[in-house]
Amino acid sequence: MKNYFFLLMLLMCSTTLFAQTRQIKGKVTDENDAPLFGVSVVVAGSKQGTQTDANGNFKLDAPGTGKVSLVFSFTSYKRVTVVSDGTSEVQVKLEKDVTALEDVVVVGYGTSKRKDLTGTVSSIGGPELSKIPVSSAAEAITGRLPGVQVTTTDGAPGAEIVIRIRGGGSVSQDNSPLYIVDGFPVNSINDIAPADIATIDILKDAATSAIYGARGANGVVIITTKSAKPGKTTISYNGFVQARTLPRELEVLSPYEFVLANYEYARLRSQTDVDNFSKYFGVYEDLELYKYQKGTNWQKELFGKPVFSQQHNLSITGGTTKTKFSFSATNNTDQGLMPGSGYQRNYLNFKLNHDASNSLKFDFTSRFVNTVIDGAGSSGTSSFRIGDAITTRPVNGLADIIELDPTGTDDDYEQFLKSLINPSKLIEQDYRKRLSNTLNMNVALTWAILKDLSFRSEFGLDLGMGQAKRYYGPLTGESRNAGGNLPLGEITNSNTRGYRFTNTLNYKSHIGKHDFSVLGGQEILATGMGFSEFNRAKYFAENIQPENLFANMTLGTPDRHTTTVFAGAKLASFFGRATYQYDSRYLLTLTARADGSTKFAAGKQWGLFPAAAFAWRMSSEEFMEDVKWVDDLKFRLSYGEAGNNRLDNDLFRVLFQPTDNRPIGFGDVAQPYYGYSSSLLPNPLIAWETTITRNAGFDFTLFNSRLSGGLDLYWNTTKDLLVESDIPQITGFSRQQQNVGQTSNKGVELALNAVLIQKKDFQLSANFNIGINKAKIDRLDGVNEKPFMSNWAGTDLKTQDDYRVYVGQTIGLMYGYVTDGMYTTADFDSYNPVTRAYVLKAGVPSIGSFLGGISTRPGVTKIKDLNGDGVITAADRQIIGSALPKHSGGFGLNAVFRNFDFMAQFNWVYGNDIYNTGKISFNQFYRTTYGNMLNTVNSDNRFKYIDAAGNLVTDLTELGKLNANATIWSPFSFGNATPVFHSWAVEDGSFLRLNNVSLGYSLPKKVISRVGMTKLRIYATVYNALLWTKYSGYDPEVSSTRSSSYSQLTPGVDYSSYPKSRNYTLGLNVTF
Amino acid sequence: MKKLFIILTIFAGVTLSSCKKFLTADSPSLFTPEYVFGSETDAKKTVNSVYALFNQDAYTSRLSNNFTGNTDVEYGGVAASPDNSRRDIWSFECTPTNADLLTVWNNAYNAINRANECEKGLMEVSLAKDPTNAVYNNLLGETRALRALWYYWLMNHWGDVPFKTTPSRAGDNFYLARTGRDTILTFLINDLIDIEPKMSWAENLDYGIERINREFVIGLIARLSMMRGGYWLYPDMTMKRKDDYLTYIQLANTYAKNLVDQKPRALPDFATVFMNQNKYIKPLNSDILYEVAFHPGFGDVAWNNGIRVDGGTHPYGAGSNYLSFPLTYYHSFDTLDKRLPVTCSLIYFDKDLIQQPAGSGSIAPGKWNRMLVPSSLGPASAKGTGINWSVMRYSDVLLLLAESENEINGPTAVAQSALRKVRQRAFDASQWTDKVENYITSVSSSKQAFFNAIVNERAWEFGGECLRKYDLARWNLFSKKIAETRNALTEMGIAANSGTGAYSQLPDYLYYKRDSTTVSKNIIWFNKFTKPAVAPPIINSPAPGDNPNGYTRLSWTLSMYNSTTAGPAAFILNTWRGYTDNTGSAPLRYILPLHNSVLSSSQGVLQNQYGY
Repeated sequence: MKNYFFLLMLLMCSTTLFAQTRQIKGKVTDENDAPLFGVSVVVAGSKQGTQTDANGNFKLDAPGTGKVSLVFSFTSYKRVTVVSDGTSEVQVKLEKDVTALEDVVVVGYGTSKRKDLTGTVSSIGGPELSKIPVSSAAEAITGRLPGVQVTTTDGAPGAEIVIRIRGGGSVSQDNSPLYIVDGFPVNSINDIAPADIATIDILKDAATSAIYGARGANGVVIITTKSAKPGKTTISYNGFVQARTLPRELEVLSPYEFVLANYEYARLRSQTDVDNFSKYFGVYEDLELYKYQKGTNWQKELFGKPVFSQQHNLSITGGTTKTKFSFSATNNTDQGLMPGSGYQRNYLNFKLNHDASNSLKFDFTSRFVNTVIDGAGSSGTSSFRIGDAITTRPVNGLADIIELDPTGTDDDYEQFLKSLINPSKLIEQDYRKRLSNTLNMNVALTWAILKDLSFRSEFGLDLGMGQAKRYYGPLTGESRNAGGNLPLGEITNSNTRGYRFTNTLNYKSHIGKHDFSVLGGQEILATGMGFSEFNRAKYFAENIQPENLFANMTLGTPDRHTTTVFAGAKLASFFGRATYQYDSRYLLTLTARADGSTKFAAGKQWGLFPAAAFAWRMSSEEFMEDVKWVDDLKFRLSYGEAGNNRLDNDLFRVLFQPTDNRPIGFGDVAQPYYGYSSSLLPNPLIAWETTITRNAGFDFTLFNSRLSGGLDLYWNTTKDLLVESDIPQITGFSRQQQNVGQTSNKGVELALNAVLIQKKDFQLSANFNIGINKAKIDRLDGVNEKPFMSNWAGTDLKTQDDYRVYVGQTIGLMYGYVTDGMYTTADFDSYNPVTRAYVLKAGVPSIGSFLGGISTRPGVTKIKDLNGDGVITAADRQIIGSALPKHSGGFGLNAVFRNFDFMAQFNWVYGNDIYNTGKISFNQFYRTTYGNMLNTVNSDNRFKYIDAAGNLVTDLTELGKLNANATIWSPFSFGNATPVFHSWAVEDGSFLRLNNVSLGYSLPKKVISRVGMTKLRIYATVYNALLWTKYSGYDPEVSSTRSSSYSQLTPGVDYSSYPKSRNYTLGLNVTF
Repeated sequence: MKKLFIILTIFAGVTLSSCKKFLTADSPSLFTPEYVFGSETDAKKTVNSVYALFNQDAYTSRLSNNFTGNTDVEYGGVAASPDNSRRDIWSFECTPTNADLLTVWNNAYNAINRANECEKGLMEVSLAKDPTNAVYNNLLGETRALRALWYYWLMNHWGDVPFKTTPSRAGDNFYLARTGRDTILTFLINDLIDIEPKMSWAENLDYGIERINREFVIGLIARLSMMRGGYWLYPDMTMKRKDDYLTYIQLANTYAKNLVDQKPRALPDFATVFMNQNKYIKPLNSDILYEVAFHPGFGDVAWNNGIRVDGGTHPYGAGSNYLSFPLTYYHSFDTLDKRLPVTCSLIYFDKDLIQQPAGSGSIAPGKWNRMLVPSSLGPASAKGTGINWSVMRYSDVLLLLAESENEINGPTAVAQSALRKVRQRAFDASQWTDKVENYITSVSSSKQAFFNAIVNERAWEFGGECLRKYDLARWNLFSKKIAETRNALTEMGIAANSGTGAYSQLPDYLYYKRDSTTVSKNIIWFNKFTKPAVAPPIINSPAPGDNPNGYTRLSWTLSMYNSTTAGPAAFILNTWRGYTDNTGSAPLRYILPLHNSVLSSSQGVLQNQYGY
């Protein structure tokens, strides 16, 4: 300690002892001789330095006499050291640094130069981001970074975006990475205006993410917004307009085919059904008339019409070297494909940096986001399903003149009504509007106590105000069950707050070739504190509009009113990081973080997460000096632990919460009651989930910086998995949070950047990345197998457990029956007209009434009798698909020709299966009354039971003749409420997508400078331009289920996913 | 260096203690068990959480109604083929994928766990502080009775079930196997016997009969004991009762008598009992001992169980009806029985509130009628009538007394007296000699005759109240009664067609006219119980314009006949389709399968029995 103090004293003295000054002047330009503004100029070996002004000029007081070395550095330019004689003016031309080794990478509580990294960080910077317009930050990284898989759960505006870094270790836990925006953790990266993003850095291994300890297990996405720049005030405008279209329609039965199928179905059932059918659609002989009807194209009607969206961003930066600011405002309006859906976001971003003195710096940032999301969507709890666009009948037949009979039993009535409802009407009645305002403010004070020692204190505040409005019209189930068939309205008002207080002490020094730095810090973080108020009223007048309803809740009968205070979650942490470098050749980083979280019981609250990383710059070794084609080569090795506490609050203790949801009605009054605060059974034993990451990798820059990239191998193990486990219902609960088992992810990632052509007028570069990940279940809760349900069809699905997890295998295994074509007439001996049964030949397994529809007969779907017991049962199932891809990645091209720029970015996923629920439910009558089906089962393709005269054919020979060309089983094999998951519905989900292609033109500077502009670029982009896939649904890039919009355990289900749109964009970038 | 160490230690100490303080996140909206059981007001609200589970579809339409058909009394309409809905439960064709199974199962165990939680909290917090507090003691009784009720229903529908009497906690064994019905029932009975003396009579409780009270618990002990002393279906498909059954019949007898002695009361007019329910009136010390309280906007009584009212512009809304009575039941009544017109409604109201004949396949429970609710439910209303649902009536206890007494001692004066009270209410005092005294004398000729009289009396007394399934099971009469009903209906159809046979005196047609002076154009029946010797003139028959003041006719027993097959109508074939033995000797599989997801979540500990 004494020595250390002495050293500090000495260092301080040294600067005062030799204080003798002179002034050096100079100018810095870029390779095109344009002045560079804001370039840092430092006298080598001292802290004497300045920045260039708007004209590229600088003046610098330098100590001593004689020659002096000046170091010039500027982001994305090569660092240059120039030796000056100390008197004449210095002219420096900076060269663009394509290797990015000098790039500053944000690594958590500090920055690092890419070349100094010991861990794995993937980054995407401003230049790439500014060229393509994206409506979210997630879109910006889709397919661009190795090992980072971005899935938009569906195409709905504001849809959940699932980001998985290296597969994600958790089984049912939220596997999304930690999002940090300018130091503050946020829930969703949707909260940040894409135009404001300067860089995105993704920390992938524990060596880098361990500094975030607790929450870094799934990787960390750090977003840095554009910072303030001093100098002349710059105003820029970026904007685009976009048209979205449905790229693909599913082919449904024509009106004639539709009535024919329904007739056949009725004929197969009973004469009563035929009579009913005739009542609605006319007698069989007249059905020909439907050939001349066009019918309604519900897909077009519901989400096929082009919709528009636009984004405008205006930013202003300026200031002096001492005080600089930036301000940015963004408006993004996005109409959804579905009528009534869409969102609007307004972002305001303000940054201010002020140097109070040489040793005291003050930073302020604030972000305000206002979001309005319209529409209830098509998955989750909404009552509209995408399937309605397929199954709604294209023609009404005679139904328009039928009078409704409102009696009949409840579900029948509801189904009957629903069958007559125009889906657009249902969407109107299932109204939802969500509004949120969030304000985030951060202040930071940096105090350079000593030359090498600095202290930084940051305080951040996050305030949120949300309002959710839900209206249920008379056609919705909610109105029917609880609202007396009249409109019902719910408003939830909530406000949330969070804060963060971080103090770090940073010490950096070097002695000779030894560089070292130590960071120590403490942080407290509180999130999700707040208050919410829920109001519900019912029995509104039938014709009330949602807007009027919400503006006048008093017009209804008050039903429920609850208020809740959220205590939120808190995290207390201590962390430290030490780095050591020898000659930039050997690099070592040690990190440790201790986190205490309120999500666990006392005694289980703290977790300690250490990490170590080592890197070796081989290219600096003597033996590499002769290898001229290697510019830089670094080998990295890391090992570390990170934690995960992403679960609901208070799951460790039994607590009660008052509620008035469906209460008992003593005295004809709703009696509120104390219920359990969670639907999960509390578990006091839950503790941190820990992920161990091991990483080995190379970073390389080759061929005179023409080729650069990185190769990483990793092996991550997640133990004490936090799993929301199914427990027997006899406990009174269905689920409990438990620490269960272990999973691992092994993989390889490769990223390559190549400068193919580098000429004055023409530059062409390419990028490529690929990630191969293998996820494995190492251990489960003492069992080797666990069933899971995707729940897309609730309890309708024949043998509901359609997913399996096995120890030693990967997650996402689909479990179902194996399709074996259909029964043909050759499978039968005879037909008995008395019992109306077909007699199977000996040895042919019977399906019986297993499928719920017409039982064993020719034309019925055949299922493989796997256990050979002669009957089809739940035991005849096996793994029929795997949802996780073998590899995924992307590649792209960037070209600049004179004033034109071109960019194309592809991404792909290979080797995954998709569980296409539409293929099941749209190729049978599933929960529809006079519904439509896909064209797959048209009368040319399907096995038919009626002859040309509309009569039922039962004779085996006749039936055989009639169906000589049948290629698919009868859709009536399946019951109206019995979808069956068989291998036919598992499809290859591999795809290659031209994610975006963009062409831009920048007007020559000479022209635009006359109107005071420094940049004017126009561009056109097509997003989701082309798709190559064998998948028959709307889009293979889906993962949605009914229970929640994304379920980690049952990935790859395509259920009522909102179709992804194709976007055509025109945009403009202007800078003054 | 030492100093530094001390400073650091102090610093660390301060930091850690402030850390500890920082690392708590308690919301004033969330409460600990100590709090919610800490006062009478709060403890009541906590026990309300168990009651609240009555206000779920799982109970209102499922368990209390749909799960109790089809018997010789109530039935729900069955489709042409199984459809994996509630109709399959009615027709004994339920499969393990039927979603209703899971809904009810989950709700039942949810209620049981909440009851277990309340029992623990009341004992460890409330009563620990104040052991003699009447409110706390009654709450404990309510909690145990609610738990007993849910287990009672679970066992009636699923046989032996996993049995848990403590609130679920981490570390418990969640994978419980089935416990025998005898063990569970014995536990529940003793559990209630223990708390019953400390409970309060309804008259001393806030909300009276809407809250579980002492008289109901006494009745419940009797009901549970009768189940324990009765038959049930074993997985090997035999109907047996335990060797010690008489002990429990005796216990039922003791408790039924206990109530009659301690809380004697006169039975109110039969129609008034249900009129009160429709009008939200809850009289104390009357017939209903306990009823499930629904507030307006909730509850399915008179929506799926009651007189049908079609929705229209009138202010009463639409009330469907799932539940009907077969012709055999209707014609089993003495025509002078006052319970008949209250129980069986031959009419419904159309959208203009005009009375319409319900038809032979839609004889509805007339006990409940949404049009009688104090403030009209509104034109768009459907469910949510707010009418309470009776769980036990005093007459039920009287009949249990008569039955248990007969079982032990034969048709003694005690047994006769209990039956008498029920019969007397059913008939006008002027007919008591014949319909009550002579009747009782005649059925008291033997133990068996008296037992048969109880079987019939319970059918007449509780029609539409969905108790029959439980009675038939414990009497081992389920299969017999189903076969009898089906055979009788078939014969009725044949007799109507041929005009001869045992049932030929029953009306093949019902004839009616309308009273155009009434608002609802009330239907006036020409014949309700017998076939007229001479058919009255039919309006517009034989030619249009004939008999302008004639009658309209409605196919009655004739509708039970299928003229194409010269056999039973589809209704007869479908309604009890899952039970095929027309001799009634094979046991009926009234036990339901466990839902698939119950099986899978038990990780193999639970398996389906009874051939499912």
